[in-house]
Amino acid sequence: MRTLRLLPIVLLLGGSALAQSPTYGVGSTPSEEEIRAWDISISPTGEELPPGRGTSEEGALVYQRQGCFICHGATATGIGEAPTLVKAEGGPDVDPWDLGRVLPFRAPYATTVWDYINRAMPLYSEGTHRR
Amino acid sequence: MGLKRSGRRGFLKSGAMLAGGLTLGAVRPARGQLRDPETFITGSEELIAYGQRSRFQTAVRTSHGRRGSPDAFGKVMHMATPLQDSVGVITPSALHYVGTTRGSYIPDIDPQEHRLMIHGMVDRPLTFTMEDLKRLPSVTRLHFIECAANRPNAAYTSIQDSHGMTSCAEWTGVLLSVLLREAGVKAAASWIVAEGIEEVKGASSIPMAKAMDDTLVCYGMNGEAVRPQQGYPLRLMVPGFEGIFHTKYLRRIKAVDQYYMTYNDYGHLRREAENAALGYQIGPKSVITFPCAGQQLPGREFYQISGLAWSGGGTIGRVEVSTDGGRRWTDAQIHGTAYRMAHTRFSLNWNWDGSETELLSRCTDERGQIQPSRAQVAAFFNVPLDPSYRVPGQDNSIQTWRIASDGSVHNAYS
Repeated sequence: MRTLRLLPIVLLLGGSALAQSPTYGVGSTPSEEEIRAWDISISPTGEELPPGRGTSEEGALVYQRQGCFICHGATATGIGEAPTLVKAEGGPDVDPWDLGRVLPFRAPYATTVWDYINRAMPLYSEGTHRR
Repeated sequence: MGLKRSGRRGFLKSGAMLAGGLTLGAVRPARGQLRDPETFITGSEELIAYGQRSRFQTAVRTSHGRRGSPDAFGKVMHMATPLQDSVGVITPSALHYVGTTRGSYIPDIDPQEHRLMIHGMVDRPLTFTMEDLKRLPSVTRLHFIECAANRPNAAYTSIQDSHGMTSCAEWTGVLLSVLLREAGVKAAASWIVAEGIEEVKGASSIPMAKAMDDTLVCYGMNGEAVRPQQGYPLRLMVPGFEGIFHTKYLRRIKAVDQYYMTYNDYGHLRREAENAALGYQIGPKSVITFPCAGQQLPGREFYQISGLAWSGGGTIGRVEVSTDGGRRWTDAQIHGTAYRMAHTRFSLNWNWDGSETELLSRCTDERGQIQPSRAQVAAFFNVPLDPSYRVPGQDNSIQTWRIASDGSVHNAYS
């Protein structure tokens, strides 16, 4: 009984502190700025995305302007080792699982595509599209 | 020194005489084996400071898949371990398989400059230097890693092709749970995103339950620092999960409340849950490493069949071997202690009668899961079994080696 009566007090006073306080006190606190600079994760909800909007027509211009066509080709079907970004047989009635690992098809969220371009493109200058 | 040398020689000679005295008629004399070596390895300061294997040992990693390494861009692609030459359970660091997200340069990281940041849904974001991490309580564990690309295939002619994308090493580091507790994970955090600092910033979503269980932040591998091709100075070890989760060059862990669907995640998406689950807990798997495809038995009579077994489900409890194409199975001997999510060595003594036959192994893990045959997997997914059948997801099916009457060993699926 005594233990039971004490339990709420323990939970109130020490419970969260016991579970949450650091045990070893090793490591240092990064600044907000450092965290912002390092954190490039984009969730499927897109909440971390910078403000902006666009259409596929505008996207085609960005594709040219950023030089994506140099490796992926004017029609985005890939050159040499650079993979295709489109599939001719794609369409609303086609099961994307049948098309292989073509990023824009298989990834069910545009954020995955945005995130990958942001972190890993273009080849040799990775991250220079980052904003 | 001279005295020592002759003393040793004398010992070897008397040993030879003793062995000679016990020799049975059928055993050939071991001619040449007891001669003193006539040449020396030229000593250099470098070689004495950091040793090298004998020039007679030639096992090397080979490219897995269609691209060589380094490729035309200088990137390192998948490289497979020569399991046909393996002994024991530890893969030498220099032969540990290499997997890279899309092909990668090996970053040249100064450990003094390296940092690991833990942030997101935590009470106290924290940054750790390598020195910080080495102050914390450490653990040392044997663990295998296996790539999702590791699968038997009719076109493969060696075990290195079909099974070389798994390796096992002794890993040392800090439990990730220790670091997450230091930062104080918020109750709503259900996943972590782990990210490397290499040029593609490879990142994976890992369930918080696994992160808090046995996931390790490793700086040590086989008694020294983790090798650059394995993520120097810091890599994640997610025991029993597909290789891609074991983030190299680890620089950041973010506690989050949802699956982040990163590029690495998307590449390993599976349509069926039964199939996807194997990536998060690799099924029980074993393979005979001797004799195996590409090898040649010099004659009939005695061989110790030897192999490796592992499971993402925990320890290996049992390994059975068949020497007659799967009709009869015999329990193999498990060597030493079977560790959780680690390669486990097994063997079975065997006398080959010289006729064509097939060798197979299958294992059972501590959960009672039994390694399936290709036919069983095909039946489970209700598809016809043909030679080109591709087991979906992480393939843990049984490998059969065919021994021809001339002693040559082949992939039975070819």
